[in-house]
Amino acid sequence: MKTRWRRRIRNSTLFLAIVVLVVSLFTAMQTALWNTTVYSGWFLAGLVVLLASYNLYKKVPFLPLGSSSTWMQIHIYAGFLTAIVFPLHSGFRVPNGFFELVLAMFFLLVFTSGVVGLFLTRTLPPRLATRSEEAIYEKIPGLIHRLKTEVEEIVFGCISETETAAVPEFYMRRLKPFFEQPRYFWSHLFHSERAFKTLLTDIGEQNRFLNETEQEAMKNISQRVAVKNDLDYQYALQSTLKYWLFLHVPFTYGLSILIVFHVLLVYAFSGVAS
Amino acid sequence: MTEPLQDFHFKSNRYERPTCDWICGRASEGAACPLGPNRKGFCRHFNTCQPELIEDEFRCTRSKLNGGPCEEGAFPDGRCGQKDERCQPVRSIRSRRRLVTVWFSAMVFGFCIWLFASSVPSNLISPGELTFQHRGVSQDCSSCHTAAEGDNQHWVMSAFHSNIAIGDSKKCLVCHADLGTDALHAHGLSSEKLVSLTSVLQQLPKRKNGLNLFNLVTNEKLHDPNASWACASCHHEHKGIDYNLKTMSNDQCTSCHTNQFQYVGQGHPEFTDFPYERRTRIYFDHNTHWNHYFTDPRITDNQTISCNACHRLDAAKQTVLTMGYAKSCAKCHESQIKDENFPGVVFLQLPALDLELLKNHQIAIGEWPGLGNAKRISKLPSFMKMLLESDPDYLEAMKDLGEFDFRDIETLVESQPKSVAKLLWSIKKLFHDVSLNGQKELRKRLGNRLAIGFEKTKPSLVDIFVLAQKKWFPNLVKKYYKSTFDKTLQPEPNIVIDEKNTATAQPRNSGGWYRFDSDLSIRFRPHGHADRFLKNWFEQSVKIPNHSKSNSLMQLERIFENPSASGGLATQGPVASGRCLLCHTVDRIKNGSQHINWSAKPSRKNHWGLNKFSHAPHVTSGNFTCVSCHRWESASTQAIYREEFLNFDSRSRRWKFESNGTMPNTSGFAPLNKTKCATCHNGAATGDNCLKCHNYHHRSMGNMN
Repeated sequence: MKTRWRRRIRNSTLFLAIVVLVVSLFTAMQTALWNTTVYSGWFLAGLVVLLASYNLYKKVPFLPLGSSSTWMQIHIYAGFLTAIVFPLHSGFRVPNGFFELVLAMFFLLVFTSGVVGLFLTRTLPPRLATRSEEAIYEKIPGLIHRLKTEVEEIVFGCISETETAAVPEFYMRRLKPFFEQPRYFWSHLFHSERAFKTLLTDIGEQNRFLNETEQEAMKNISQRVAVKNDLDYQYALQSTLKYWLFLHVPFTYGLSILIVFHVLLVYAFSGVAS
Repeated sequence: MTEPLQDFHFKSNRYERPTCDWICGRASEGAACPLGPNRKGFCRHFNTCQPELIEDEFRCTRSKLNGGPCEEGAFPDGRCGQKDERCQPVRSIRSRRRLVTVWFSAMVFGFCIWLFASSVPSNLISPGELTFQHRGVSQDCSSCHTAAEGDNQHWVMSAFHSNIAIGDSKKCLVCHADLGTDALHAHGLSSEKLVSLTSVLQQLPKRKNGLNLFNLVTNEKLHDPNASWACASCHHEHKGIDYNLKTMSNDQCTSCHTNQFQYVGQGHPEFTDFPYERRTRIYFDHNTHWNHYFTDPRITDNQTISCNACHRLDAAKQTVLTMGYAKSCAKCHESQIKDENFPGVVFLQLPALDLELLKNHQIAIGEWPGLGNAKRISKLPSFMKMLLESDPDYLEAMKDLGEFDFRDIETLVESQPKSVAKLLWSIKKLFHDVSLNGQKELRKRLGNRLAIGFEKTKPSLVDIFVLAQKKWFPNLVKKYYKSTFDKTLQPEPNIVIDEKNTATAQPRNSGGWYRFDSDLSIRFRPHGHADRFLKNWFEQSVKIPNHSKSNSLMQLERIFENPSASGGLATQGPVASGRCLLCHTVDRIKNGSQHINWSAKPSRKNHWGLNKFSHAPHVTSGNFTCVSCHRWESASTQAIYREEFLNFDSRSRRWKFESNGTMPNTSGFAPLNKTKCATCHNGAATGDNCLKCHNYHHRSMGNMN
C-alpha cells in the first residue's frame, strides 16, 4: 500500500510538472506567433497514439517493452494529459462545425470511458475480494450450471421421499429462473442486497408450509442460493470490468480514423504545412 | 456446502483459454471439452466415428480423446451408432470486442469517406461558422481556400503543398486590397521599411519585462523582414459568428518588440511627435488666430469663440474634423480671395521687347506692341507655353534657345536671333489662329489637358484673345501669312464678340478673364474660394511636362508671383493672405510628383499609420475638454510662418514653400506626452491593450473591394 501511494505521489507530481510545462510552452509559443494549433494538434495526436499503443502492447507481450504496470501508469497519466491538451488545441471552445463536433464527441467519449474504466478497475477488484470465493470469469456459467443441477437433484430427491409438491412448485416458480442464469446484475454492481434478501425472505416464508424433510431440502437449497448469489456478484463485477472496454477500445480506433481525416482537412484548408 | 466451488488441482482443473477467439459451446454447462473449438469456430469434439470394417464387422474407431470406442458400436451397414453431439462454439469476450472494434472502425471510416468524397454539403466539414464580418462572403469554400478550387483529389493533394496558407491569404487580399502590396509582411510594411525601423529601434537600450516565458521561446521568423505571414497566423476564422478576429495580446506584441514594457505609464516610449507626425494639410496658425484675431470683438462680434466654432467630431465620433471653409474661414478670408487689388494670375503675357534692339539683331517680327512701362518678363507663363507646344516652330526655337531669358536679348549669339524670331512669330501665330478659329483652336492646342475647363469660364477666353489681338496686333490677321509664309490670305474671323460683357482692360470684381495692357498680359482672377478653373489649373501645373518634378512647386509659386496689393513686403505674392498656397499645402509624394492638399482631412485611401486615437470616449465622458490635452506651446517657439510650411530665402528675399509634408508640426500646440494617457490607461478599467492605441496593420482596412 505504501509503495502504491509513493508511486501515486511521484507520478502525480511528474504529471503536474508536465502539465505546467505544456501549458506554459503553449502560451509562450502562442505569444511568439507560433502556429500552436498545429503543435498542440500533433502533440494530442501523439498522445492518442501512445494511449492506443497500450492495446497493441498487450498483443506483443514477448517484446521487452516494460511491464504492463508501467504501461498502465503511462496510459492513465497520458490520458489525463489529453484532457489538458485538447482544450488548448480547440481554444477552450466547443467546436461548432459538424465534423469537428463529431471528433470532439469521440474524444470526450474515449476520455470519459477511460476515466470510468479507471474508476472501475480501482474500485471493483477490492470488492471482488470481499465476497466469498473469487471465481474465474469463464468458469462462472459452468459453476452456476453445476449448482442448478445440484438443486434439481435435491428437489427430485424431495419428491421421491415426501411425494409432496410444495418444494418442486416453489422451485419451479421462484428458484428455477434464479438458477438458470446470472441474476441481479445492477443490484450487485451497485452493491444492493435487496433482491437477494427478498428471495431469502420468500424461502423463509415457504418453510412454514414444509415438513421436516422438505425443510431440510430447502435448507440445502438455501445454501446453494447463497453460493449462486455470490457467483452472480462475481459475474456482475467481472463483466463490468471486461465490458467497459467495449466502449473505450472501439471509440479509440474510431477517434484515430477521425484524426487522420482531421489532419488531412486542416493541412489542406489551413495550409499549416506552410 | 463448505467445500470450494472450484477445484484448482492441476489434474482436475481444466486449462482455460480466454485469449482464444472461440470457446466450447458446453462451457456454460461446465462441460467444456478439453480440446475446444478450432480457430475457425468449429467444434472439434467428435463422439461419432467412421467405423472400420475388420473381419466382416464394422467396429467403432473413436479416439480415446473423444471417449474411446463406444459401447453401442457401429450399425451393420457401417454407419456410426452414436448421435452427433457436436456443440456450437461461441466467441470469447476478447474476440467479440475485436469484432465490435473492427466493425465500428469500418463504419467510422465509411462515414468519413461519405463525408469527404461525396457531394455532401460542404458545411458538414466546415470547422464552424464564419464571423459576422465574413458572412456576406460566398459560402463556397473556394472563395477563401485554394484547396477547394478543384476536385476531391485536388484538396487531398493540397494538404501536402507548402504554400497553401500564403495562397489563401492572397485570396483574403482580393477584398482587403487596401492593406497594400506588402500586406503579408509584418505590419504590412515593406522589407526595406522594416529593416530601417528595426535598425532605429535596435539602437535604443534593451528593456525586458523580467523573465517571461515568451522571452525563452524564439521565433526566428518574427525577425525576418522578408518573411510572409499568412493572415491566419493571427486571424482565426470559423470560430463562430461573434468571434473577435482581431484579438492580440500585449505579450504577442512584445514577443517581437524586444524593448518591452508593462503599460503606458511604465516603460512606454515617450510620444515624440504624436499626433503631430506630419504638418497639417491646410496651413493654419492656431496661436495667432486664437490669441489675436479671436480676441478682437470686431471679428468675433463680441461672441466667445470656442474650438467647436471650427471643429466637429465625425459621425463615428472618432476623429476631429474641421467645419470647412464656408463655416470657419469665409467670413474673414473671402474678401481677401476676391481682393480687388489682386491683379490676377497671369496666363498669357507678351514679352516686352526693345524693337530697336531686335532690328540690330536683324530679327524681323513685324507688328509688336511697344515697350511702354511694361515689366520685362524672363519666361513665358506656363499656360502660354502649353498653348505653344503644338507649334513645331516654337519647339524648334526652344530647342535651340534652351532656358532662354527674354531679358538677355541683347546678348544673343549665332543662331539665337533666328530662333527668337521663330519664337515670337509662333506667339503671333497663336493669337492669329485663336482669333480665326476660336474655341476650336484652343481645344486643338490644349489637347487632352482640356480638363482645366477653360471653356466654362466666363467671360470667354477666346473673346479676350480676339480683343487682345485687335489691341496688340491690329493688323495680324490680314498681314500675317502674306508677310511670313506667303500663303493664301485667310478669311476674316467669323467670331462675334460681346464687347460689353467680355474681357476688358480692367479687373472685374466678380473675377474672370481680363486683359492687362500695361504689362501685355491676360489674367484670371478667381471668382471666389475654390474657383474651379484655377483649382484645375493648379492641378495641371504640377503635372506640366518639360519641368522637373521638383520644380512643380516653383511653377505654382510663379502663378502668384506678381505682387499683390494685399500684405506687406514679406507677405506679398504667393504667400499673401487670400492666395491659395498660403493655406493649401503642396506635398511631395512617393514617386517625386506633387500633390496639392485641397482638404484638411486626408483621403481615406491614404489614411494609414500604426497609431490611432478615438476622441469620442475622451470628450464625451465629460472629464476632458480639448485643452485638457491640446495646450498652447510656449511663446518662444511661436511663429506665424513656420518652417514646416514656408521658408524665407534671404538671397532672393522671397518666401519659399516647403514641399516636404512629412515634417512634424504641432500647429501651435505643445507636444503631447504620455503622462496624461497613463493616468487612466494603467491596466485598470480603461485597459492598456496595445491595440487600443495602435493598429497592427500599417494601412487601414477602410475600403473593401
